[in-house]
Amino acid sequence: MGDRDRPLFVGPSALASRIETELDGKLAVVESTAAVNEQCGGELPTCIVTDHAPPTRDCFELLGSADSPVIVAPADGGTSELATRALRAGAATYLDPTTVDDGPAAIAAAVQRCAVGGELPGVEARIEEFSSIVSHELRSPIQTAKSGIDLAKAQCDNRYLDEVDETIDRMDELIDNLLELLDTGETTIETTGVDLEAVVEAAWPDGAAASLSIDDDLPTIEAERSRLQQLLENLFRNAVDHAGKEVEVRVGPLDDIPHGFYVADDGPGIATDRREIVFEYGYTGSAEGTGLGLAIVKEIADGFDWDVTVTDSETGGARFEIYQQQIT
Amino acid sequence: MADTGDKTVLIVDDEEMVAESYELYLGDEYETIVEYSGGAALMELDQREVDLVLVDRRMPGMSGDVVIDHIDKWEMDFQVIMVTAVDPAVDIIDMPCDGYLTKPVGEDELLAAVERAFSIKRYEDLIAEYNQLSEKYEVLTAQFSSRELAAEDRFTELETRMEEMESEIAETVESFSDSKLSDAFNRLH
Repeated sequence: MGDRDRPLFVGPSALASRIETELDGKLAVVESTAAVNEQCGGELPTCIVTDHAPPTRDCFELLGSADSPVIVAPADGGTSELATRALRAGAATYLDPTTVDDGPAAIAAAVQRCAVGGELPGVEARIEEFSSIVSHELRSPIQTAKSGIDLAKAQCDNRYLDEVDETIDRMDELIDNLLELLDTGETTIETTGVDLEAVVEAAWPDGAAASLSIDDDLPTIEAERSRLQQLLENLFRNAVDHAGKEVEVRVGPLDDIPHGFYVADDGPGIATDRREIVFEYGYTGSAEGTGLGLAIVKEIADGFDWDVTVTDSETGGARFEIYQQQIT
Repeated sequence: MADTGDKTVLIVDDEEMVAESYELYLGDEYETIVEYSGGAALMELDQREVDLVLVDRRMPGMSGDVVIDHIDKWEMDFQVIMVTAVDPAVDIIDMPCDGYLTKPVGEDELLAAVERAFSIKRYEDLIAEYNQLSEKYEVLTAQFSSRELAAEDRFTELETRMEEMESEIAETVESFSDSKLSDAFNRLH
């Protein structure tokens, strides 16, 4: 078997031998980036898996010169910055083996995906990998900061600590929103008939001071359950942010549009001239908002070919109406 | 709420500040022990009895996954809650843990999760004991007439205990702070 038929691993031999075992011995191995050309001798390996530990192993050197697809797998763990840079530089896959149960097996699986017709992981897989890295790299320091603030608050009473605490909570919410946004950006949507009432109940936050009432005869609608739940969670969170913790929220069917429904609250409502821009990224009408919640609602609705519009509720609050886009 | 004073929670997190904050959150309700690595946690478990382990998933050296795999293999009888910065994936189905929290975890969320894990344990213990009593009840009612059994004080005690346990099980289910969990258990009855 020539090197053309085999994947090439650039990295520590201990990890290489474990990947090689997973691949039944079909792996060429070199320990440094500089040795890649010498090993290949003009042949193209099916793909190159590389650690990133400069100067011996520099994935960006390979990404700039290799003709084979490159899988970047930092053996000692990576960072979100490395993931972003590697994917931008053209890496076929970024895989941090320390974040999965069995790193060598995960790398071998990625190699096999390359080997089968040279297929690369799709956009969704890359988004998922990226999302996982971002999630870990951002939430861990948020936890550390929050822990530090709580420990400090236990020792002294200081209003600045409360303000920092609130800021950290806002950052946490922003991260949640950003991750939701990444999730919403996935391309494949598989819909099925979903019991709307059950999803409304699942989306309603446990222990909330706000109250929820659900009209009879909520329809079964064609949707992907997890995204529909995310849409409803964002609408409920929006109601609390804008109308207060004790807001009354009502969900019911639209009278004149089959399979349409509304989410209404008894808060201050949304002024007529703001009803379009509330769905824009970054727009927020409250100190607690991140400016992403309703943008994500719109994004999810668009994915289902739904329209979402704002009007007044019976009590003068906001009423969001969600329904299948009308063909004109 | 059940008496929590005699329960011990082992906190395992390599971030000292994070581990200390968990200790702060739980300290009023439970006895706490803190370890900063998976290996130290396993040594602690070998020497002391604990009722719940709160373990960070991603730690240098021995990860939280490896720690709970050991706990599972050793068939230790306590609750395990995994804490992680990464959103849960499908692999948690196979994970031998009783709870899963996503960072950042605050005081209310942590206390609710620990309380819920203990409620589930209490529920499991009650169901196991009730099933034992129920087996004996079935055997005795098949063997003896109701008149014979009515004359037996110990059978009357068995019936009383089963009724008490039915109430305790119902109360435990109602006590779950998470109404969705409570609904799920109610559907089982």
